[in-house]
Amino acid sequence: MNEEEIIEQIKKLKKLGPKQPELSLLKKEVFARIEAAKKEKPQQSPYFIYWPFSHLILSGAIAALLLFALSAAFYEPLNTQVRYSVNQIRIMAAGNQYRKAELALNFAEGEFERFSKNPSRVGSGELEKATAITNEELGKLNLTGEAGKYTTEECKKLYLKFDTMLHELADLAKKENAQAFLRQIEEYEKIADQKLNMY
Amino acid sequence: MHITASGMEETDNKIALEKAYELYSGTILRFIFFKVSDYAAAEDITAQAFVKLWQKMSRGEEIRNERALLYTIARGLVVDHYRKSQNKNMSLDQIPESMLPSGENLQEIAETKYQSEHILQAMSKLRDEDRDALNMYYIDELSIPEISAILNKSENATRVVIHRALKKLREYV
Repeated sequence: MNEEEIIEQIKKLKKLGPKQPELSLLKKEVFARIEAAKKEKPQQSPYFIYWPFSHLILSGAIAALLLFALSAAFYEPLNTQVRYSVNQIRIMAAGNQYRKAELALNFAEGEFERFSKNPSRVGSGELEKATAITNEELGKLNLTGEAGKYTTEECKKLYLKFDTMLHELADLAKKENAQAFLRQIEEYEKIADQKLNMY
Repeated sequence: MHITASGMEETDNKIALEKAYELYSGTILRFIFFKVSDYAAAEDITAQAFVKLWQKMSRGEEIRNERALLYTIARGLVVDHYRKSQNKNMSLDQIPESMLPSGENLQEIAETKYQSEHILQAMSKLRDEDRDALNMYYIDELSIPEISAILNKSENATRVVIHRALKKLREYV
């Protein structure tokens, strides 16, 4: 089939399309959703529904964790656990998905820097965890942004930052022969590239 | 169509949205169906796309080209759909009867169905961007400036994407 014939074949797809009655039904659905969106109250994080009580619990938990972190500051495995737990709490408490993704990425970048200084520990599971959390939180972003929370451009920048970090991580994993981690990074890179291609 | 939604009353938004729906709902639904190969999902994503358009109008955002914006929104929503369904390689099973042309005899309908499924199967092997470019240019007849805005590329780069996509498609047909 030559190019002209292929174009003809593609153009024939114009014949396909939804019928008017179906579009009319769908239109009702669209306007029903709009009405529902108008009535919808601003969404609150479930952690803050009973604000004073939850606030106290959260503050107490953070204070306890900080104390724990201070006492464990010189014991590396415990120190790592504490840092990851504190980061998880910060992500959980963040007000919107963009903030969560940003916190996760900043944490992963910090971890990457730490591991770059001590590359023999790449593959021990910690850096993998931080990268997986970042991938997960970025994956929950709405690429077109969310009204009043974050914009498309901010999402794109975050993905670009993550993509850059992944390239550097891949180099490090290759150097340290951390094959499982490298495969994981390649998977994340594929996803990040797909997302970036959408912009 | 150039619409400045800033300061528009709710009724104006409704009228503008209805007009956009009349003009573009059919092609947007088809565009999405060709991407997700699932008619029910395509309907749902189409509805979401128009709700998002309405939200933009309500916020008073300036909308220079509704059609291009709808395609941009649709592409983003399809990415979300892929992520939620954990399935990025959906294949086209069957074109639903409701999408087939009316007014043709049974033999013509069967032929259209066969040929359409054949070319769509081949197109499904293309990268998302290539397939979208071909869909938008040859099926939905969007202009190069519109497509370049949607793909976030220069007009020349968009022409190259279309040309290369056609070349690639030849290998799959």
